Amino acid sequence: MKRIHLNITLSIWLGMVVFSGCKKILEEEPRSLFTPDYFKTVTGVNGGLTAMYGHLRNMYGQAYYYNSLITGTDEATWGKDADGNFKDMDCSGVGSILSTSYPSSVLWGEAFPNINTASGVIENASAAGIASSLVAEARFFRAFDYFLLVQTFGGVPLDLGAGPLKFNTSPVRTSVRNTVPEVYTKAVFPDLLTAVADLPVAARVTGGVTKTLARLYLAKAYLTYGWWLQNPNNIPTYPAANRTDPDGHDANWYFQQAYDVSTAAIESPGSYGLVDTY
Amino acid sequence: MRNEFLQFFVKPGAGLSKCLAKLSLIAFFALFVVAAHAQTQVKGRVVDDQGKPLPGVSILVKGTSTSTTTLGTGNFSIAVPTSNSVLVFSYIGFTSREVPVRNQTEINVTLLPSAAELEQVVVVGYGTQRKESVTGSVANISGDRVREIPAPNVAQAIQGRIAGVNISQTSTKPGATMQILIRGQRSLSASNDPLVVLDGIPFPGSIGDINPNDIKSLDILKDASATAIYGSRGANGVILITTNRGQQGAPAKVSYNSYTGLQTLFAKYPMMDGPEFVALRKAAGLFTTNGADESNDVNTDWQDLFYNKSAVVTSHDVGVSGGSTTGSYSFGGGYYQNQSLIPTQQYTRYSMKASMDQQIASFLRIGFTTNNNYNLSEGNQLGVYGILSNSPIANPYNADGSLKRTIRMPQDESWIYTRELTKNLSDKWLNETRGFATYNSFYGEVNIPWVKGLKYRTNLGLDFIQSNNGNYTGVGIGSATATTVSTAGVSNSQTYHWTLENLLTYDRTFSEKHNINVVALYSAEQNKFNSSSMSARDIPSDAFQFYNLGQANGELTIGNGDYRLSGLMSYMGRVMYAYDNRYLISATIRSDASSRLAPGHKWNTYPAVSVGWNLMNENFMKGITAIDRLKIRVGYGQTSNQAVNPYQTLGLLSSRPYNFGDNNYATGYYVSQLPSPGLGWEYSQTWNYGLDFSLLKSRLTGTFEYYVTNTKDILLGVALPSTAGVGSYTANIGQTQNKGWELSVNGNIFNDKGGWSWDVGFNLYANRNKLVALASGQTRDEGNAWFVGHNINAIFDFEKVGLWQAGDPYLNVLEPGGNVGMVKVKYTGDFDATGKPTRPIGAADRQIMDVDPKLSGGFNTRVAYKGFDLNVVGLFKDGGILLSTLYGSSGYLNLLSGRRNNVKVDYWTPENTGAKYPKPGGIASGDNPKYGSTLGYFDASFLKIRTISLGYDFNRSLLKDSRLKLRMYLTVQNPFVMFSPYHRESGMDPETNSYGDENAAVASVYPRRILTIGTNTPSTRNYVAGLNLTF
Repeated sequence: MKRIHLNITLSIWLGMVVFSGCKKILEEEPRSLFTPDYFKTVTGVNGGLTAMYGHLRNMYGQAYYYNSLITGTDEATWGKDADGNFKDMDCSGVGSILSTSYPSSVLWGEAFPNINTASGVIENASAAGIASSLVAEARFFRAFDYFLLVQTFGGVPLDLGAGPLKFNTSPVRTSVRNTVPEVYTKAVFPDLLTAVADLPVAARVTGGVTKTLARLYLAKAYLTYGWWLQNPNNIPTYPAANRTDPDGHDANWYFQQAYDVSTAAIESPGSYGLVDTY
Repeated sequence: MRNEFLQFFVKPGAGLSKCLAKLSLIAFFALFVVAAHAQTQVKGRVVDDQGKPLPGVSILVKGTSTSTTTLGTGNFSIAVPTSNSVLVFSYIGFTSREVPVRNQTEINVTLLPSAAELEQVVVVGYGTQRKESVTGSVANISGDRVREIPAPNVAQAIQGRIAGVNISQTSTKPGATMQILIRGQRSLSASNDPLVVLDGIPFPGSIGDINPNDIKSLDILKDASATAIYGSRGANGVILITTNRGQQGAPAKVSYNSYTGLQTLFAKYPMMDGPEFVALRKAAGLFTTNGADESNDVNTDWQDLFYNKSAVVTSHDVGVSGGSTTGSYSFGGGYYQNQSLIPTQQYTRYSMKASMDQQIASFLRIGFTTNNNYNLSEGNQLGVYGILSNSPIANPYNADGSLKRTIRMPQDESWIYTRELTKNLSDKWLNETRGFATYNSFYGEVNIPWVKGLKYRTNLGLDFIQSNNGNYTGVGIGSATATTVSTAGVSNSQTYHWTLENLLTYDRTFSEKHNINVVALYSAEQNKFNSSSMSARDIPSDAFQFYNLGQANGELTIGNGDYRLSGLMSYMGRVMYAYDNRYLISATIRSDASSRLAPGHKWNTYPAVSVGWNLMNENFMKGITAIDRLKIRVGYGQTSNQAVNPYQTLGLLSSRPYNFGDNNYATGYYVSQLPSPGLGWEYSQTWNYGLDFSLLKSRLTGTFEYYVTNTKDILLGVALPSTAGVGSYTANIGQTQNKGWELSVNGNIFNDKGGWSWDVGFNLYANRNKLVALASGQTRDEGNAWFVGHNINAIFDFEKVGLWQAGDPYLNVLEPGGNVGMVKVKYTGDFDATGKPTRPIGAADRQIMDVDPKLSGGFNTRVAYKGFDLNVVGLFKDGGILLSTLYGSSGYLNLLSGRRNNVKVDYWTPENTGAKYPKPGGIASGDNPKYGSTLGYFDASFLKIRTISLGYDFNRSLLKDSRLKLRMYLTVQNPFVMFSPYHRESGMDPETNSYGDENAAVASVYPRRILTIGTNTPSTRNYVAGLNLTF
């Protein structure tokens, strides 16, 4: 009896010793929640991309922001009882575009989390050898958001905490604005160029991004940046920056690039091309 | 046998060097050798100082496993191996004696009662210590004292009985556990619960799983110098629970403890009756037309229709314990059932406990303990809000005497439920949680033969906890609409926990003056938790209840599963040294590595040191006879709490649904929490100063302590700029402080004077809790009601100063749109030259109000005469704020509009201007009177007699000299409450009955950590009869 009891006790104990392993108990592997490591798998990258498509809804499905895209053009202007929702984006310059007030705050609030998610996908997926066509979608969205930000607010931070265009792993409560040429030449153009190179001709999913779409945005960005370099209306820029291109090009070079990229897109449109009646 | 083990060690992949644990295993088996010896017979008799025989005295041949016990006559006989042998006589409550055999064959021994205080041993974690040598802050309460209060769990039993340990009721449902705070709260978002250690193994379960009848003693480590041995889990204090074990050499002892009690309503919720409600409605003038089921001549007491008249509480425990010459055992089974005044609500627990110790060789001992319980909580879906808010002028019955399904009030239609209806619906309206838990520990202990005083011990703990909830609500139940579909749900959770400890203890006295005790520990531990849940709508058959959700016709929902695995690996060393029982020092160092922290940040080390000085053992104090014992203690230590949850440092993705085209639905994942590898524990540093005294031949004993605990690196949510990519993150930023004093005194007023004995004990303590720092120099966090310099539990609200009376100046300035009779709150703005306020009252006038009491404590007294004893146990609290959501705005029971029933309050009318509560139908904020929340704050002071118990010991008369011991008692629980402004006004029990986010109509107003009185099961007053029988 004694012996049996002893044996049972010891064998259970031994079992624990053998199977536990000592270092292993200090490792973590979550099984009921997703961590950024999920972006190291194809399904995770697909999920990350889905969220990026989804974030468009949070902006363009947001009534005030959506409205500002109309009232801020030459098709409409503010009326008698208009408040900042109408005035801020108006071309007449009666409002101010702030990161803290509607409707511009919608973009400010949505863009950075999406940029960070995109950086998380780009870093993890690249490290795990996931197809570059998928990573290119994340690059497209990062460039897309930076392009919206730089058009709306001028220079914005490229470093969210862990370094320029890096996935943020070290929360800091301050941030430093980059200049407009930095945002274009370091973020928007390189990401879009990679997207143009790696994105498929035909969309992966309904409404998915393609080579043509990336070319459209690249051309648009070249034009906008070229115009910023020229600055014919003497519009100030924030933060202050010289109107010279760090890559040594001038406005005309960018206009030419825009022309070339657009022509390439028109010639091989893939899923999305110009409508026949254009 | 050895070969098997050798084989095990050479098994490929076993990795011999991997673990210290395995090395220790070798040590364990290297010592596994058995010896044999020859013998002679010695007999004799053991008596006490009055010459009476002592039965059951344990006699051990020193250095061997040979032992016996004395018979009823005090006689014994034992075989001793050599004439050099020494016999050790020991008996509980008596000083042990060692007698050398020499050549005697008959040895008669007198044992003297031990001075209990001096010999008392306290459990200090990874070992025990004589009370006289303790230098940290350790409070001890014996199992017998725990059982003085018939309670379902230990926490309830020790409420108010230990200085510095604040135990608060968080629910009045049967079987509910309590909130235990040792020396205040220190963490804002992490747990403030102390670590519970059951029989040496950290306890992962609920304290309600431990049967109070199994407890031998409870030791509470309060300061960091004592808790540092538990390192990263020590900051909230440690409760060490030791369960009963058999005694080696003792004859079999059977014990039976039982009680049965009747629980009656302590007080109804103070709602208005029919005429009072009619008057209120008239005064409010808002609902001038009665609802379809209402009539001014009806007076329905919905609480009477709902509550059981009384409920039964029963407890039965049977135990057998005893021992052979080389081992001991203890087995026990328990049954506890607590019904409720709410029909179908009850808690049942079956428990089983066993322990065994066996000496295998003179130097080797093994044993195990197992604590198991199955518990069932039923009827917890039943609340009383519906009952309380029903209009008292609504008639529940149709003209034919049958019960209506609903009643219609002016604005609301309410489903009605009564006692009979609820009982009849018990198959269609149920919620039950079944828990099963098993806590097991095994040990092996080796006295290392060639080093005197050195002992190796290994402990293995294996625990499993399971909880399974099922609920079903049939068609139309609880709803005004008869066709509301049925709903059912199931949830499950499991916890697996193992602990492995290897301990080396060296305990020896050199030259009679140097007493040294060294402990070294290596331990590893892992806890795995997982849960799942599902729910369904529209169950096709009532008979299915929640047993087949797959057949539901409606929506099926699968809840998010939860999985958490965490591990802890530790090294600990402790040295306790006493010189001549005068100078005492204890030093500890513990290193903990946790899986919850990021690589590179896993290890943390906790130092502690404490010193003591027993003044009375000094020569220069010898002349003072009034003082028996006087000890001064000082200790310092650092500990932490495990504030970081598993996986919290890894970052988190949240989901976002999207569809590509019309039919391609997908789920997206975006980063919602950044990885934060730097996240760590919250560290508490405590200084503790103590004074222990014993005066007048131990008739007056006590302890006074003063402490300061500073906690830093408190986890706080910190807002981030949008440019960080997430809105906020958690960082180790905040600081809090707890500072306080504790006094506990026990006095013996008479000791068997003419048959009378009278003992009195009380404890008194004050804790000052304050927030020292929030994030980045911020001093206010209004959203969370956290303010630097105030309690963690603070309320941020207007301060009621009275009611606006006719003629009070500036009503229209301070309260535009206000009315006479409305609540007047404090105005903190400026006044112009004419004395006129410059602005209306607004958000800027809100005040910070501290919730914690100024002083808390408890008392107990015992008067004995011959076989009778009368025990009274009470607790009290002075100051602080009691939050009653019944009276405040979140309960929706003090609307003062006449819409639904109202708490019975003295409200303002032009004829009753001295009232406390505002004019009914006055200015409102939402559905409540403006500033209605201020009506829920009360002075929290109270004094409560928890039990009065009268017992009789039959061994003083009927059963004199019998082996059978019998005590019977009658107890009244919760007999009365004094000095409570809340009780005076409401008649209710002034103890809290809910967490801040529960049992109120709007549960999101107060944080969970602030306990409240809400619409929970009503409190009871209990009449209990019980007996303790042993033979």
